[in-house]
Parts: sequence; C-alpha cells; structure tokens
Amino acid sequence: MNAKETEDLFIRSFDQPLNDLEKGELVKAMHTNPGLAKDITTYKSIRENLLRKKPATFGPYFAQKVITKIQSLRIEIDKQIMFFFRKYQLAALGVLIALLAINVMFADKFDLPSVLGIEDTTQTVPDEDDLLSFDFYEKLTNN
Amino acid sequence: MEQTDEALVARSRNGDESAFKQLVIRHEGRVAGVVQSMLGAGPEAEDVGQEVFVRFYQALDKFKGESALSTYLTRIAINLSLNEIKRRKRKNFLFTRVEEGRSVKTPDDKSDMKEIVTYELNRLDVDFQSVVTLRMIEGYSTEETAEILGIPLGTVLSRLSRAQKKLKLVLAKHMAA
Repeated sequence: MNAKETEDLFIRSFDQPLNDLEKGELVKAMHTNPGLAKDITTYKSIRENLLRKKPATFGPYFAQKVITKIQSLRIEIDKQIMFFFRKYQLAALGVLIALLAINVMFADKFDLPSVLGIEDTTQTVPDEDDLLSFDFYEKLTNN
Repeated sequence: MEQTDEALVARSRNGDESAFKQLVIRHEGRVAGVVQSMLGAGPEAEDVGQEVFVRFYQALDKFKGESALSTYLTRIAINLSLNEIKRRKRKNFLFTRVEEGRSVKTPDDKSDMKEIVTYELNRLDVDFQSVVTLRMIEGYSTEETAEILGIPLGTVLSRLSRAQKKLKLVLAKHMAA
C-alpha cells in the first residue's frame, strides 16, 4: 500500500467502518511511514476544529420573528387575493350600471321597480272553463 | 410533558401558532448551525433561517413525516443557503467582481486554528462545503448526509476525502506563513 492509498484509507476511517484487513493494513502503514503521523494529526485537528461544540442560534426572539413574518405574509396574501379579484368586481359593477342605464332609457315610468326591472308585468289569463261558459249571445241579447 | 414533533405539526396544521413556535424553538439550533456554516453568521443568515421556517409552514400539509423533521428542515436550509450563495456570486459578478462574498472574517496572524479552518471551509466549492457542513460540523452520519443532499453515499465519501485534503493543503500554507 502506497502513501496515497494509506492516506485515503485513513480519511475514510473517520466516516466509514473499516474491515479487519483494512485496519491491519492501516496500522502497519502508520508504523512504517513516519510522515503519515503528521498528516494524521492535521486531519484530526481539522475535524476537531470543525465539529460544533455548542448549539448555534440566530439570537433572541428568533421564533417570534418567524411567527410575525408568517402573520405578515398571510395579510399580504389576503391583500393580493383582494387585489386580484378587484378588477372582476369593477367589471361586474360596470355591467350593473350599464344594465340600469338601459333600463332607465327604455322604462315606461321613472319609478324604482321599473328602473330596477322588478316591475310586476305578469298578465292574468282567464281560466279555460270561464271562457267556455261565457255566452256571447246571452250577453248581447240582455243588453 | 413535552410533545413530539408529530403532535406539534398536527396542531400547527390546525392553525395553532404556539405549537409552530415551539417547533421553531426546538429546531432553531440545527437550522442555525447549517445556515451559519454555509453563509457565516450575520443578518443574511438569519433571513435565510426565517425563510426556512416560513417555507416549512407553507408546506405543512405536504409534510408526511417520512423523514425526521430535523432532516427535512436541514434539507430546506441547505437548499436555501445554496441559493443565497448563488445569489451572492451573481451579485459579485455583476457589480463588484470581488471574491465570493461569504460573511466570514479573513484570518490574520492572531487567528487561531478554528478561524483558519472555518475561513478555508467557506472558500471551498459549495458541493464540498455542504457535505463538510453536514458531516463534519453538524455531525450527521454519512448516510443521512447522502439522504439530505440527494446524492449517493460514494459521492459523499469522495467529496469528504477531497475536501479534507484541500483543507490540509491550505492549512499547511497557513502554518508555514
């Protein structure tokens, strides 16, 4: 095993268990290669210095800041929904005004039911039996 | 009695903000560790940290609990940190053309080994940096690191090996200087 292979094997030993054969080779290489001991110290030092020893934090009130941000985002989304539908609301209002204007133009009378188009225009149709029982001749002779 | 993550997630889904706040408090350390390792401590890191939890809140209904919540949050934290690094690179390229702007103090004669290592870590390519952050700083296993980053285990091991060799080289230069 050359120096590079030994170095690779040593680095791998930090992150993956070695089998017995690899362990034996590594121990043997470390005894026969004194330069490797220095490298091993450096690698151990790198890992020790990088490993987090105390918990990280974003500072005080972080959780409250997150909640406030979520609340403000929710309000913003509501506003966006309102804004998105506003154009449709305006269009609907325009159509309503146009319909009222047409109603006003063509209305017979200027009272509220006519303008709003809710005037009662239904006509009463006489019952068929009433029509059949109506005697024109009698009506005429009596008069 | 302390509630489990699953119980707090269920309460959060029903609009219970106090439950979500508890989740934030519980996982802040893990998220802060990842984001600050990638970006350096500072207001930008805090903004990214807040964004991690906002994204999680917005995706509460999609979170099925297939992976642990800490793993899920770490994945969001890594992705958002990578986005932030890309944004900084673009900004530097367009406006200043200076060295990648990660907020890490440049080491001087008084810097100790930890500061030098942290500085050099932040100069590594982001692919190496994310692997080193998860495995060597945050202490995730190699399998968890692979799962979070969505890369094969062999790639994790190879990146770890290459990153350590690079760090050893630059440290040797610092020691010699």
